[in-house]
Amino acid sequence: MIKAVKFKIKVRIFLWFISLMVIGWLFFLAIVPGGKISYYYDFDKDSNFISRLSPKERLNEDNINAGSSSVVMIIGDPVYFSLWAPRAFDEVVLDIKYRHAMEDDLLKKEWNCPVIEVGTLVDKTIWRYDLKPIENKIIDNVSLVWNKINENEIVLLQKDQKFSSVNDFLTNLPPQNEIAIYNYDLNQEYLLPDYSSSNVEYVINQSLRGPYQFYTYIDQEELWYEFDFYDLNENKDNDVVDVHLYYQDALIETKHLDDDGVLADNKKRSDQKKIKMAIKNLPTGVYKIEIKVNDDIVTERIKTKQQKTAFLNGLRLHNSFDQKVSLFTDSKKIQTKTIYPDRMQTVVVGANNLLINETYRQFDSVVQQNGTSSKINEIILEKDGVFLSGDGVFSFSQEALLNPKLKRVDESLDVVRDGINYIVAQYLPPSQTDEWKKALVKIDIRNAYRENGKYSFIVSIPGLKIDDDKKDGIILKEIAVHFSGKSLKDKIKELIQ
Amino acid sequence: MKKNIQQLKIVILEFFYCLSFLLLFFYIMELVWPKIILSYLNLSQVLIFWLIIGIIIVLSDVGNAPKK
Repeated sequence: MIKAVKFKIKVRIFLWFISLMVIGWLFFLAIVPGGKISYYYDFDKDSNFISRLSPKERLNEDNINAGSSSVVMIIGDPVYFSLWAPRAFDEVVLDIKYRHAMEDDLLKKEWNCPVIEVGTLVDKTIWRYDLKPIENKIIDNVSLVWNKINENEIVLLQKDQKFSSVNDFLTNLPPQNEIAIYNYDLNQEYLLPDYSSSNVEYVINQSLRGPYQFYTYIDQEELWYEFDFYDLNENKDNDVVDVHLYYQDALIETKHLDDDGVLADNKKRSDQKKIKMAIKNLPTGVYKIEIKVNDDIVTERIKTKQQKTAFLNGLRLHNSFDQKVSLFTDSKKIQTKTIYPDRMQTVVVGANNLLINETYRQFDSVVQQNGTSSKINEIILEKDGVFLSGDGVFSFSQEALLNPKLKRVDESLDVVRDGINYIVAQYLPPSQTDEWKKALVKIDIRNAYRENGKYSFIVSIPGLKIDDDKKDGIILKEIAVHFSGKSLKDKIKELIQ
Repeated sequence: MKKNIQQLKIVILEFFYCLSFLLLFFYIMELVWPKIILSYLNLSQVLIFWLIIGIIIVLSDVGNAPKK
């Protein structure tokens, strides 16, 4: 009997020891005391950490010639996936194995998507992703012909060699119109020599829905903007309004408006609310204003004393009037979309007509140069209620247009026609192993949006469409994720100090 | 032989208790820290295993206290 009790105690001690080991092992995996952990996803079996790519409509998982292993082909832009991590990390390195579908024997088609990028969601309100390059064929091709200097992942390409180093280039910058950048910020001062301030008040009476950003310019004058907002109350979210003012990418002023208190989707329009931003004694230069709101908020009117108000990358015209809307853009290619059946129309884009004959579908148009040397084109809409986007800026008058951004090396850049002589990029081209390419993408995730332990990612391939005749795409074979962050030792040190 | 069977009964019973505790612990951990267990362990399999042991204990006399 005593022997049985002794045996029982021994078994109990052993099993509880094993249990504690299991719990300890799980805690070890959850805390990641070393600060580094890797996860893999090869599309053969679902991963507990890396989600499947979505939406399914932009993927082709069948009939791909890739031997015995499972692969997935991206046929539409963009696609998304999420990464679950047991704790927050500082940096992630994505190791992506892929190839172009055109390299497949069965799908030899012309490839017209030179840029492939991946990025993390950094702001959920305005769905902003921080994109980093996987591959940029324009840079790869130009670097075969031009002089190339590579210093600490910074690539400088010169048509004719004039600079001996990247530093030499940065200290003696050539004219801005000869430079194109990619994944690199030159932080150049942008000044308008012919600009003179005035006291005229400009009013933009067109209602704009959701978030947007615009550039403005001041020179020895007060920065003065007044925004009239209202809430559509079409969703249950907390509809706050934040207006951020940036100078040289640094946030210098913020204004905030609370929600109207109606958290129900009663579709009752709220009362009008105003935000006024008036700041004196600011240095001369370009300023960026960001209206950070969700889709429920409509900007009914913008009043300003600034002559320049140029909307970045596009804007969403709310369906408020049945009258013509005229806009100006320096974009080379624009995209239009409407969600309202009564807003289907023919849009005049420069010398082209663009027919919007379907709701919830994006229509693209290459903007023609209207027979003049000016790179600014007019867009005329029969009525509003259309979302407009492009690779440049948009404004409601030609004089208000302002684009301080340097040309970007993307699918819209024509190195010869645009007169580009220099390209600066922070870019590491993919390496080729057998038939697969391997790209290492380093992303800072300290400010990335994380919900329920998940980081959201986007794979962007501009120009890749499902509904075109081309059977092009990107075939993914494997995604490996290497997280790195503070170790337990660093964390303890931080807490002690 | 009888001794071995007795020892096996003890092992099964202790294992059941231990697994019950672990399952409860895993459940609480999942509530507090979602996905922390499910990412590494297939709890359905553990639960089925626990259930099989439970059925064995109920159907046999493993759970009965040894006669004095």
